[in-house]
Amino acid sequence: MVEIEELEFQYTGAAFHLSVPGLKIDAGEKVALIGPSGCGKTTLLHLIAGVLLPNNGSVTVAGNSISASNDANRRRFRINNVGFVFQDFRLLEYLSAGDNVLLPFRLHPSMKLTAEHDGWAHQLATDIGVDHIWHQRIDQLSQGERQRVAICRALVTRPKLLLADEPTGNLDPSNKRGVLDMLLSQAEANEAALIMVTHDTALLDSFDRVIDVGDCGQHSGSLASQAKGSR
Amino acid sequence: MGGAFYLSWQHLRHHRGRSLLIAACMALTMYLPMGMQIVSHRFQTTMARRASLTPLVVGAQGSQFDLVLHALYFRNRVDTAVDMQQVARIQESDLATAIPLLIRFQAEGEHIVGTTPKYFDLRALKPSTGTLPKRWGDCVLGANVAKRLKLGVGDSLLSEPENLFDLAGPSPLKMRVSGVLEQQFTADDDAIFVDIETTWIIQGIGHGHKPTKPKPEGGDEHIVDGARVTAFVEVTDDNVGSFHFHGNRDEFPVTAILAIPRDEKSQAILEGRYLEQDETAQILLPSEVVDELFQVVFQVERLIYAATALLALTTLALILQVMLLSFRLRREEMKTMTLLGCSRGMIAKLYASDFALLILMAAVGAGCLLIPTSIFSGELINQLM
Repeated sequence: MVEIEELEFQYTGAAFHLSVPGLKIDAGEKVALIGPSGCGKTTLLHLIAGVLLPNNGSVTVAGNSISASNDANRRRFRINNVGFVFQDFRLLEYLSAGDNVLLPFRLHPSMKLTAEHDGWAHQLATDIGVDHIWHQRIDQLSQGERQRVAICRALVTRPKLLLADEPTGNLDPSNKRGVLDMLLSQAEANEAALIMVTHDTALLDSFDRVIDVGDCGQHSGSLASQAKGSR
Repeated sequence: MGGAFYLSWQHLRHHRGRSLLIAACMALTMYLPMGMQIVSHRFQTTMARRASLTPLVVGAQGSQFDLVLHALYFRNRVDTAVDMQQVARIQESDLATAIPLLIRFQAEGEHIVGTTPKYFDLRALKPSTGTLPKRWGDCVLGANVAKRLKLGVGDSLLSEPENLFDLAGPSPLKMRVSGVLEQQFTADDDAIFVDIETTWIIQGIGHGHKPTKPKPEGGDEHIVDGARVTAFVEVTDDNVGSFHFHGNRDEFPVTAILAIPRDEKSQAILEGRYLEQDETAQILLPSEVVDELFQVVFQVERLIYAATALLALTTLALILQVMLLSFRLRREEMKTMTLLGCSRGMIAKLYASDFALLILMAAVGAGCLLIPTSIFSGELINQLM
């Protein structure tokens, strides 16, 4: 699903440097990215999603060379194939929960909202437990409800790849496990690969593989992979 | 564009206070020049039409604007009157028909226009109810006056004294409403029409009273009766015969005369007769005077347009500032959209549809203001005139 080779990345004018000699993530695999703050976990997610372009090396997702694509194609690829879940949810406050879930269908000419999509979105919302708040405004929702709406939005396009950037970071311990289980089960149900950034070591045993992006004491990151025997 | 419009609409709806304020500013900026254009155009049309239907105006020397506006709209007070001799002068010249106007008095705050039946023919005025004045003391009301005063045929109203502090002056005359005119959408809707003799009675030149005692044999020839002669304050069928005028009718005042020449040649001759150096009266072509007035209006209009253009620029600058601030405030939102895979074109469409919807709201708002302006501008102009 994801193949990274000889990746080098540096923000312009910054000392930070990320190096990934090689990384392969299979379809349906559940991977956790760990490492101290500022070591490049989010940057790696953005490189995989094609939000950022590497200085060297290549990123291939689902057979598409992300690093060789132009901006328009990367955006089209992202909206069609990648689901994003963020720590701060990134929901649009002026839309209802339902409109936030359906937002990807309104953002790109390649996506068209059909009755089938709408039906699937409602089914997903029922599964995730946000159907009853479909018409409510975001500012009327609890943190847990917002996170579930964000997950629903990430899954609504049936992505092949689910990227989660500390999705449990703002949640209390009881909700953390619930959200993670939901992400894992939905990724499995949709046969999507899941790459999740987390600081929470208590959650790591749920993943197929844990990747340590490395010590960033030198403002640089490098990968150390640790495979789990089984989930 | 559907998705962009939907999102923009939701965004504007969520920030409805700010959106309405911006739309209102834009609506006013659109409305002001267009509204002024409508009112100005209607003003010019109304003025030009009434002026074109009034071939010549004769009156005392003085302001041309005052005299024409007085004769056409019954508004500007003319302090110096001419007399009925001027009316006779025109009639006897056989060059034109003269219609005298005496507009000096009011009743219930409405102007009383003293004239002759020919005025009603000139303006094609017909009563919707009742009749035109049949005798002294009768009045016919313009449509708006009848509405404002809630009066109809058979009701009566009192004239107001010219000077409140002149206790020795003539008593107010109680006038009988003989009819109400059809709506004309002209200044005639806002006047009370009486026979010109009735205005002379209001002025005190004419009056009616009980018969005086016979003059005693050998008495003072100047004393005709005691001091207790009671003047009538109302003209009735019983006392109308007692009303009479003192003095020479040729010297009775009129404030303006409308002259309808027989043909162009007669008009030219008549105009020529008022060119003498020692002439006390002036003759005016209302359409020419109105054209001059339009020049003044154009100048004022240009100033207002310049002020409106400045206002529009200021509003535009403020709106741009608000939009730029909005871009900044929405930076995180756009970043989210980018992370999700939103195309650059869609982000541009989002901003464009935001602006388009605001313009649409402003256009609807401006339209809502322009419709009543268009409908009521005629009435407004008549009120202002």
